[in-house]
Amino acid sequence: MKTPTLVLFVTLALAAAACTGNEGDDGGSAGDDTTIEDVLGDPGDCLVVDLSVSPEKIDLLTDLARTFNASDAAEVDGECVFIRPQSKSSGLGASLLTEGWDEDAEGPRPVIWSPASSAWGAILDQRLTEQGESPIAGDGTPFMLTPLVIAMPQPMAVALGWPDEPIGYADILDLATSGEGWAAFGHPEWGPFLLGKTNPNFSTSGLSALIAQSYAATAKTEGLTTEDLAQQDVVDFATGVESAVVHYGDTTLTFLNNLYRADQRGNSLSYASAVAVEEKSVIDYNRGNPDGVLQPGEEPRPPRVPLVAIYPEEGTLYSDNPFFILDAEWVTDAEAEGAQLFSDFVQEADNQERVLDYGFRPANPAVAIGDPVTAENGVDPDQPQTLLEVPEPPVMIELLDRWDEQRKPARVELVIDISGSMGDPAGDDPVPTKLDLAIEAAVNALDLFADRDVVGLRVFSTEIGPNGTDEVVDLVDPGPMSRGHRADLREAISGLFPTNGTPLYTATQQAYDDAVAGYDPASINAVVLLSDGVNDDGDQGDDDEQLDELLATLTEGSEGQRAQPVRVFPISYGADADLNTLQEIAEASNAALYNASNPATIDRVLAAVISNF
Amino acid sequence: MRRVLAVLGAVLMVAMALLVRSIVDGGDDGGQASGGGGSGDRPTLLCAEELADVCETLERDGVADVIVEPGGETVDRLGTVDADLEADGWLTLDPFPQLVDERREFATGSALFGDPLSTDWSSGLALVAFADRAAALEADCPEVDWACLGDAAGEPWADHGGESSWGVVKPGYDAPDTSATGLLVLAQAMAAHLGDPGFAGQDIDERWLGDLEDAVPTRTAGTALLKLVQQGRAAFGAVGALGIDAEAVADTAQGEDLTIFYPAPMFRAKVVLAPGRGVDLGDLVDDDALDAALADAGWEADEVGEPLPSAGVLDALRSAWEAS
Repeated sequence: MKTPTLVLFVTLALAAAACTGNEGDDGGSAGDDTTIEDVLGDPGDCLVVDLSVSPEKIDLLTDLARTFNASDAAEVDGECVFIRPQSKSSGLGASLLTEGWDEDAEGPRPVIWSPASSAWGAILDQRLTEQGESPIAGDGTPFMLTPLVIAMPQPMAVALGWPDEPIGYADILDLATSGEGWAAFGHPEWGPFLLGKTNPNFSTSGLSALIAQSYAATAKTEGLTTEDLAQQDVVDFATGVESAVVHYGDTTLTFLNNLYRADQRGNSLSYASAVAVEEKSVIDYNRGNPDGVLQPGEEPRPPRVPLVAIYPEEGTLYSDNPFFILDAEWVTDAEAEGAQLFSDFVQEADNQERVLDYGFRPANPAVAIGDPVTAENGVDPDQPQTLLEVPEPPVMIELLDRWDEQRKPARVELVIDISGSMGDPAGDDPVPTKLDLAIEAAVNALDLFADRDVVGLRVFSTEIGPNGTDEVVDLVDPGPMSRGHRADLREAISGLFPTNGTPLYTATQQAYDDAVAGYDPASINAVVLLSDGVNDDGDQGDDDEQLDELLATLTEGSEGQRAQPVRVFPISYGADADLNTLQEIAEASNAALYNASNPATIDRVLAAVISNF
Repeated sequence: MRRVLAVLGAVLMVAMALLVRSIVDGGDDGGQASGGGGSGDRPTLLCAEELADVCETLERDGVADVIVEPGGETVDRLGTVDADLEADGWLTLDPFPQLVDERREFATGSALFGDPLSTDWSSGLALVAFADRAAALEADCPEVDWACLGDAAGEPWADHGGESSWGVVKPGYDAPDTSATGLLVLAQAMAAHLGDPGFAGQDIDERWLGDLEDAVPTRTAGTALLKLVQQGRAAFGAVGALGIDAEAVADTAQGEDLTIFYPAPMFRAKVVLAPGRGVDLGDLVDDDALDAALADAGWEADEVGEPLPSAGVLDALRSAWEAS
């Protein structure tokens, strides 16, 4: 993905927010239609203090807000205070606060901003300063901490010498590049070493992992420089680590959920050998709650094979979850005062105990780091032993630019539904249609691929093709993203028009089969499937059989050491898309579903999908 | 526990203080040389961040209105010729009022403060480390002090009695341009390195200072002491802090594995109340309320340490640090 500057970095993070429940960073509630008013009630005449928090802690802060709002402490000058949290990824928050917060689209502007890491505050203030504006974040107050770790299925960690031997990025590099994979450790049945790592343009974990592996390559723990990053051995180190990546993406939840599903099938060792996540996620996973959120009726069910947290011997970074009370023109003195009361409230020992319950390390030293941050949950409260310094912003920008060149390339087939329903209005007006918006988004998304990515385009409907008898038509064969190839794709996409039915299963099956046939072991192989309706190929009688066969094919292809994994990333587009089936398709291929039920979000959703590559 | 909350809340207090100050500024035509005009008969006090909890108590008890900000920032704000105090006095650490007035007098301005009124309250300056790092320092150093820590700074722990997995020796102290404690700790470090508690400005070893500062991890929000206890032994090898803060943190659940040293020279951070010129705050010093608030916050009475370097030397040290 081309992300030449930090500006694009946060722009892409913004794009991630369109995904249901997958808002960048590393967790968060599953998407549903529940509003914060449903959870917290009506603020009435109280002074409302809006709080924007990164998704992995929205449940915790909603819980704390509920308690605070009902307490005597929630009062400023005789007026009650109502804390109203909303989930917003760290990158998205930074972008909106820099470029202008559209309250109609993004909800109310925050008084308190709590990204996953203090680094985001520095980035925000630097960008505002560069724009000639005053900084608004300043120094935040850390509220809870969790270190970045490398989560590994316990048997694999043991094979590497855990818990006695220190393990780090150098070991990962060896595993990724030796050509032997797990056979080098006496386990050929585990196949190649597979690494799960999120896209650093979206995810705080991904960014922290990128920083950590760069430090590891330089044998430094501080003072990383742009000159360091240009060293050939550092470049080789990065390229080597990236070569083991399964796919990227905007949230670690994709990895954890896929790993958990594989575990429930008794096959967790085949999906990923290691995933860069926050320590809190290891705790959640081992408690049987891989996404950190328990839906009503859901009971935690511990995995068959637990994860253990590896604290890289070269060092790691903390996510410190600061509270920034914004010094912004939209924040009144009373709101700031109310925000301060809530900031004080969350630091109280009783509330820091709740922080601990959620798997984070309390910022208040009066609260001991205890259960669930324990060895029983695969983590070590005495770690990390070595901390890494967050690089200066120019170095971070260079890191991200270089990551675009060093990340694993992708081979992607874009498969677009052009059925008649795509001609329906996207909103209340006759135009634009759903297809109009999809065309615009797909054209924009082409710019997100790197030159060495291989991308093809096909469409599906019924009675199409030269003879009017086909269900799938290749418009542009897969090819490297040269200038000419991009132009061909752009032209082909721009010329799409809606017609006839939705042979969803046939199209998916064919796209998958063709992707397997063209499989490139050096690339992330994937199908991006955009569909707005249920399967409709004119013959309902074989629908179940078709779907079963498709899911069986996808599942078989995604498991086992001989697999040539092709991930199918469906986009559920519009209100009438077959969300459940698309979810099954995503899960069967160990990918993730992206939800664009509101067509207006398709541009951002497509960008988030492409964050996987 | 009270002190712990004070340490934890220090950053919050500053934010609050800025808010309060903005209110004060907003309601003031400006230009008053002294006399902040507190509510009714109450004086308005500037408070150094280290004394935030004391000042909060004074305000809550109706003794004074308070404005809390880091001592270094107060020095910068007031140390110019045309600055106004906009308060009745400054409750801070010795000799920060003199820093302000020496800067002003150097710039041919007039002194802003009357003679500082001493209190009997102070705190030692501590060096705090987790027990394993402390044991390594004890094994490596003839005496655990800033001279030894500073010489080891930036070098592998493995060369100084520690384990290779600990990485390099990372000292910590708060930024001397904002934190009064940070500047006093730096003075203690330089004095230890020079072997001379009464060192002069020209004695400052800028190269040693630069090496020491290079080994300090990048400062972010919060004090070094708080970061040490929050992030654990990987954050710092050892940090300089007020002894009363160190003792309070060591008394918490996360701080029970901390070791506290009181290194030589035994400088103490002494609380002073500097009245604005022409303002009489004698009653406040004599008032039991101030003593009670200081005692409640853990400050120690009637302890005597080595004489601190002069205000001028401290300012020179700060300039050298800023240039490092």
